[in-house]
Amino acid sequence: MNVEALYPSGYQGKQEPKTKDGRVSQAIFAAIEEVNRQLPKAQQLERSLDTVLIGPSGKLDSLGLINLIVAIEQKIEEAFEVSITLTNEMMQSQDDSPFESVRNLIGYVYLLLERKYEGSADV
Amino acid sequence: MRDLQTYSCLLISDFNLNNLAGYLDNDGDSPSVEGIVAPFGQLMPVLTQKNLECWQSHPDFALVWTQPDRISEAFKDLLNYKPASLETALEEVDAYSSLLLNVRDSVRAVFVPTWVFPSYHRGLGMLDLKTGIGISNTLMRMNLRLSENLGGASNIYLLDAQRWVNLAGKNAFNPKLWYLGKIAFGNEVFREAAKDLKSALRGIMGQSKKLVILDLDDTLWGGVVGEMGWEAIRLGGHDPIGEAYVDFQRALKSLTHRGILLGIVSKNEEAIGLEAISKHPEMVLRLEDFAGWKINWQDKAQNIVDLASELDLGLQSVVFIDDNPVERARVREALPEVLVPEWPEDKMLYKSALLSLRCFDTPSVSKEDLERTSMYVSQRQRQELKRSVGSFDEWLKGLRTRVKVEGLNEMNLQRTVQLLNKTNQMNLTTRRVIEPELVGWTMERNRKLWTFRVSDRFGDSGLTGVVTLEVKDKTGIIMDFVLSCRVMGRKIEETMLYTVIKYAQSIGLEEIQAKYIPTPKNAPCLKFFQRSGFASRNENMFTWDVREDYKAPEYVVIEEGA
Repeated sequence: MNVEALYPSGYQGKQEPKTKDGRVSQAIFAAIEEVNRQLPKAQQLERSLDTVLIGPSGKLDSLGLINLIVAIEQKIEEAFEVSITLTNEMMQSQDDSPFESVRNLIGYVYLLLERKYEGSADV
Repeated sequence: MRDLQTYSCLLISDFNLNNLAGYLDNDGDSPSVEGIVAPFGQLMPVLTQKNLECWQSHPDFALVWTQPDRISEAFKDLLNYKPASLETALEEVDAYSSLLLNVRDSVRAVFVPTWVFPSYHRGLGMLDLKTGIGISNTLMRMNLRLSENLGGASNIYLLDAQRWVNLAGKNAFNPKLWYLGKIAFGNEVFREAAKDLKSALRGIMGQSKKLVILDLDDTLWGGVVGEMGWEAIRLGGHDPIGEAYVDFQRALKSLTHRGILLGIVSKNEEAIGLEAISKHPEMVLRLEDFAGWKINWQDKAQNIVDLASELDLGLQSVVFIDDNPVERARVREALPEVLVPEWPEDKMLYKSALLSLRCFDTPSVSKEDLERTSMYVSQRQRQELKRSVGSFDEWLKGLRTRVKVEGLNEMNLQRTVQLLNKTNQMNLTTRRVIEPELVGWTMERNRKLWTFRVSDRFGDSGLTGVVTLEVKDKTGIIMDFVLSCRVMGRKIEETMLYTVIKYAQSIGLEEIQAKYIPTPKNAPCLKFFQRSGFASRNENMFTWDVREDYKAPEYVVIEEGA
């Protein structure tokens, strides 16, 4: 998957993609905090766009990733009152995954929401 | 120090409990718990084979959490709307209960969450509570049967999983967690479960709160009584806020029926505060409901220290409730041992805030618990007598104390264990035990246990003292020397030593030894032994030459029981 292609139009991949009020990243960081409550201290995720989630230098095992994805789906639903599905992507090959880092994940969620709202700038 | 120890809890289940283990590990509340997840998909082997690796670390506790359709084929049929026999379902519960009863010997306590099924499953709708066919009806009966089967076991506790599900709301069940990770519940359920489990462990460790200290103005009633007078405070009447205060008081009073004491610390004129409590017709709490009070203009933190000390309770036993965030912050900062819960601004939430506190759990409720407030009222009367008479001896004589000495029996086992586990101050070794452990310990012929039941002219303080002795050759070693703080300083301590030494003489021992093991709370026990007449071999070891008599305390009548 070409992750760059998933970001909102104009996104350069250097900073956090913004919704009008940053609710996507807030929801994802809230989900990370929730997952950290279940993880051993050494495996807890940093609150950073550059945090690597999966792969050789990622901290999440398969259970951690499941928990993160379900938590993100819940937090997004609470924040936007729409449901998104991340689990289908999760089951695809990790080489092709938007779950590699927090930055990629935020971009991907933004894209899903943009599709839900049909490109509305209100996301 | 036992409090700082990390306890291990073996998590046994037919679904994935790794998330619960994570919540237990990361929860900052005491005690520290390490969740050890038993091998996945191995429920029956883990319950039946103690030689499996997961048992080899000798976990302190176990939690066994199952899904009802995995335990009962009959229930599984019901879930699929097939006819099933209730009797068969209950027989399956009986078989499962036997397995749980086997586990209890391997750990200090076993926790078993009740069975629930997903809230999205509507069962048979309006027929679901009908006996014989309803899924909910059958599940209730299965849980009830489980409760009855396990009720006789002193170290197995059923935990109410339905409450966790209710608190988690729509996130209680997430099919994705099940399909992707075989996780039967949403993480909110595990978070609540971890908190309830820790609360239960605190109860077993004797760390539950024993005293709720309350502010008066805008806490027990609305308004400032010193300014408006007791007739004008907001309490009861046809007023939602007044009604909320009355309900809050009722909830507080209900705590006293569980053995939890109430106290007052308030910045007010004492006479004005007490007048409101005595005279306002809608007050639910009256003076006799309070074990003590400090109503003055002094610092509340200092008043809390003084009141706890007056009641012979440690600060770690205290909860402080005050509507004023500044006072709460002050007490939190000055007295970190005191639990100061955040308190809602909305008066209508006071009762629910109180009833949701997770700090009062106890593994049992004894007769002594139920009568604790009246015992403290009697104590107040004793203190008044003390002030009115000239000398300590005169005061003791006036009490007309009686001590009944008995061995361990079925009637006093629960209270004896409770006393060993809850007593912090007058406790020589702070040994904590569960019922089967204590019974097993006393079965050896070289061991002896005495219980001490204390009463006087002001009332019955109940079973308040325990001593155990282990004999090795010609030496008797005091293993436990435990006395409730409510009877300390009334020559009961000396009565206990007199009993031990008299016994030692009767079986020909030469020496009694008492080795004091210090904790942050048991300095009163050291001070007693230092003045007890025992020789001090070193700073923590005390001995008595049994050839010498130990003087029976004057003014204490000792009755020998069975």
